[in-house]
Amino acid sequence: MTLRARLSLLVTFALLIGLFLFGALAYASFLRQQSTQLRQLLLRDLGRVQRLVQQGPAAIGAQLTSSSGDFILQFVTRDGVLVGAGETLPLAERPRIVPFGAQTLLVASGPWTLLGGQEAGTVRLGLDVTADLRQRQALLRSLLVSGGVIALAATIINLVLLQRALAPLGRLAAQARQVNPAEPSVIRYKGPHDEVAYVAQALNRALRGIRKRQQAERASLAEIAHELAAPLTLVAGHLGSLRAARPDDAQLAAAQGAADELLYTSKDLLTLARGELERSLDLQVLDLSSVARRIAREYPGVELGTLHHAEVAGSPERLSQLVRNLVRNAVQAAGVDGVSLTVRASDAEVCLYVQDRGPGVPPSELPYLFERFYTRRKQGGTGVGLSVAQQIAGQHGGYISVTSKVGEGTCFTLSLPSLGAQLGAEDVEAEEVKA
Amino acid sequence: MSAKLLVVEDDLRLATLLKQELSHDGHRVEVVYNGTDALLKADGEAFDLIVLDLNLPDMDGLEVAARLRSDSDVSILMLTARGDVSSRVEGLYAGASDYLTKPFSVQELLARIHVRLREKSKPADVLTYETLTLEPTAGHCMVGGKTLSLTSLEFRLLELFLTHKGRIFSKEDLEDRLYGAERLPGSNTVEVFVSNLRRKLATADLQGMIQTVRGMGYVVR
Repeated sequence: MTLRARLSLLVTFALLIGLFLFGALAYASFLRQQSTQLRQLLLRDLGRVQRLVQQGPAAIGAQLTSSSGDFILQFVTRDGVLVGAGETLPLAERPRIVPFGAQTLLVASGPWTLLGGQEAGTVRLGLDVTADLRQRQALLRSLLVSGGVIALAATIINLVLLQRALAPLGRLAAQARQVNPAEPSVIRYKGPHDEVAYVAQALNRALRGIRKRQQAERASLAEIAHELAAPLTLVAGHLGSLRAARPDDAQLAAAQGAADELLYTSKDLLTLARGELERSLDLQVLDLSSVARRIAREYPGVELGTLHHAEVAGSPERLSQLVRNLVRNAVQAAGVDGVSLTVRASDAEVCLYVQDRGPGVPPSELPYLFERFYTRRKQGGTGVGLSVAQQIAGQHGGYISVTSKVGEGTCFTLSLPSLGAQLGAEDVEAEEVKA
Repeated sequence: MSAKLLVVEDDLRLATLLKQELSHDGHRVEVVYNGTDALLKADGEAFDLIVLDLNLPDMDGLEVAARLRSDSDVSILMLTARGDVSSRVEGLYAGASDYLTKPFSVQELLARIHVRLREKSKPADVLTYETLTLEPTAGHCMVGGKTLSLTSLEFRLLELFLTHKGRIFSKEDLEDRLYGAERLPGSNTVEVFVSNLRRKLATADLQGMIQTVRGMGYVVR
């Protein structure tokens, strides 16, 4: 349930309780007032009757008929016989409501004292309250109806206002969701200076901190890679010239191979540190298969499968780095004998498959393979190669995907847009320039 | 192929290695360790190619390149430690013919130098593309036996494409190479030159010779 739904439910609930309490109080106080009034009226009239009876029966009719037609006055003898005809009203020490035929009466009774103080029975007075009770029901109904209408209107207004009040929070949430953890950028939040703004500020402080730290890390990474690169260039260069003089020396060959590996790793680190800034200027039309062939020669034993002629536009240096990283990774997992390269081309894209017969990667780890500095514990490595490979693929408008089965092996697939798909319609562009 | 090379590199060890390797390749190599010496040296003698480190103790390598190029059209191969695109573009503006980002393998440097020297020593007599032939030295361009009249900039553009078949030139790249440092404000954009050249080629049935690679630049294959 969203925060908005929860809040509006809560507010509506509180509102309903308030409305109910208000209605109940109003109704109760009306009832109280009405019944007090009626009782007082009844008791006053009963007292009057009693006094008149004491003064003599002749006065009764005159006094009573003038007061109201809704009264029923009865005189009941001590042995319970009603004077006159009709149904006897019940006794009532205190006024109470009783049904009486089709009517509802408020009844009160008192002693029937004759002139001279002799008690002859009871005087019973009934006040017709049918209309009053109907009034009560009408009031209850109107209270319920207006309460319902108010509750409905309030709920709708409540929803609308909450929606407006919470809109900034929604915007902030949407923006926060878009923050890329690898390249955090500051959230642009506009809104009133309230708690939401504080959250946005706090978030931005954290994001800026992360970004600053990331930049510092990248800068020092680049610094370190540079520091390593200068002597490595020398080592690899000297080994290379020694090797040229003594081509059969296996130790030199091994040393040169290791120096080359280090050179590649420091290149990877530099690529990583430079990030998006890096854009190659040595773009060429080249055949991905020939890149694959060249890299395979660096790792004798790697098997070459079908290699279609696959033209792409890109930097030969970067694409070599990419393919080398994929092959190195596969060789680390399965040895040179367990790796094969295949290139397939279609109209829209070209794909390079690097398949190894290594131990495979469990599905839970697959999503993290391209993350910076992610290494699988058993394999070692710097955790940079695949991340750099993915970065280079992205710079060329492509991507690398991976599938793996534990116990069978892993297949990395590099997909790049084919040259054909990247060629523009020259004539259209020429027209645009002319215009 | 023996050439006279100047290495401008402040890292003594790298300078020594480069001198050793280049000498081994049969070139005559002079080494200086800062920009001032490089300018003095280049003023006194003519070199076929200069290997120039961008990071020098006394001067900015870009400035050195610009001054070297203002006097002669010597090839400059820039060694840059900065890898970002702006420094590369600046490097080309300043007149570098090529660049190599550190760390590089010495073998690659030798290969690049070899390519530069070959391009320089022997501008191809005749460049061809299908029915088109272009003679840089004579300044002729023929299609199927008929002369195709081109402006000098168009001629240079076509020559550039034909000497680097398969290479994708970005607009900035072409601007640097066509106008160099003396680019005039308000001069026609590369798009216009390419478009004009395409129209002329199209009249000779060579439409589609210069292709556009979206987001990258132009290429002739």
